Amino acid sequence: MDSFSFIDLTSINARLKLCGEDKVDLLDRLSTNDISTLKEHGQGMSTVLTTNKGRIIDLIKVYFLEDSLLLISDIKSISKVSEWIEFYTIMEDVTQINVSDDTFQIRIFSDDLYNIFPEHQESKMDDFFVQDLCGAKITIASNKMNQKQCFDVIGEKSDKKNIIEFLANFGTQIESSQFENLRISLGYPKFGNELTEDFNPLEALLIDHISFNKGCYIGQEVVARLNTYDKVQRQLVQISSNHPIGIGEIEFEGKTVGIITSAMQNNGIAYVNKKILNETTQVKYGSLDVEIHPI
Amino acid sequence: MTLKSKPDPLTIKISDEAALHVNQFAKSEGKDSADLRVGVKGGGCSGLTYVLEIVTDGPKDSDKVIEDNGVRVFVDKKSYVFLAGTVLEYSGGLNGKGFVFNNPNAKTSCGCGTSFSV
Repeated sequence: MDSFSFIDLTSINARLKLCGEDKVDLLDRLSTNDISTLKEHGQGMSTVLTTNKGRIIDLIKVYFLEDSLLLISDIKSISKVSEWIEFYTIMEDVTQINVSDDTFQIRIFSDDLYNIFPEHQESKMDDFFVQDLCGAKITIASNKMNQKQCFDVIGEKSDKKNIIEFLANFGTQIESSQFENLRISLGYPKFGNELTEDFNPLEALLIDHISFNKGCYIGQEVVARLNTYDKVQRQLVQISSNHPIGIGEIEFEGKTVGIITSAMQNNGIAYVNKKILNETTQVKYGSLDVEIHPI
Repeated sequence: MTLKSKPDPLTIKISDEAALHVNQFAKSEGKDSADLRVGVKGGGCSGLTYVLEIVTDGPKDSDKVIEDNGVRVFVDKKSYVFLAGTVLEYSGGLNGKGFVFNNPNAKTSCGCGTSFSV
């Protein structure tokens, strides 16, 4: 294996299994992407749960397992995600099992990922395969944080220690603060910061996770209208400054034109009015000059 | 056109015209009468979508069975929470929508009227 870095996401993300005959159909009716195209073990997809106003509940990853769908969400959103699905499980044969405490998730970053897992070279983004590693059966899924490709390794919690020790022989484990720094540097949205009910998936640049021809889902009418009539008012951008910045409003010529939603040292992620992007790349955070970089 | 009747909060009602169309449908299928299954499922633009089916295999054990205007209506108990007080009507004519749920629990509905929120 070549050198790589990895982060233990076990307690940063949550894992929820959906079981029952109607699991795919229900999730398809509740989220933005065409979940109905998931047909067999090994396929995965990202999708956004949205409110009936087209606002974001969370961006979730969905894997089609033999007996269930495995959903991965932020640990802070799992209660909301679970309650949302439960509320809309009415006539459907769907049950939920929270497997967060029984499973682990590790994310691996490398400039040459396919050298680490050559089996994945032919597979599509988000798809996964199962392989034995250190005597453990693990699921390895290709993933992407904006332009940065990565692999997610998911397995039984009891195998986590061995897997981490094995990976540490070849790569470097990064801490959550380093991961947060990486996330911000990639402009990748996170639940509670960029992914909240204050914003819609188009503003959050999640258009790749929206199907515009799958039919109805909760919030579809609003999302489709925003896209068709080009009514998206704000857009996620990266920002930087010569000085440390924090979360708060940003201004241009004395008017509020956006809000910083994530910040670490001199870098951050913000939503800004789209109109301003045609006028300037320089805005103000308090008295500090801040530069806007499109994602 | 059918006049909207005042919803009864404790039951599901079938308007005269809706009952007529259910029975017409049954006859076209060679049956004397038909039963209706109504329900609600998650999804649709506004959050919840109406389900309406003609059924011939009778009610399930857990169903609530309501009879109105000569039509038997089966509804599962969880759906009934969202449908209590509903009048099933029929909107005919060239611009008609067919069967229409006049649901007093619906706070908003989507443009096409097939989904609603509570």
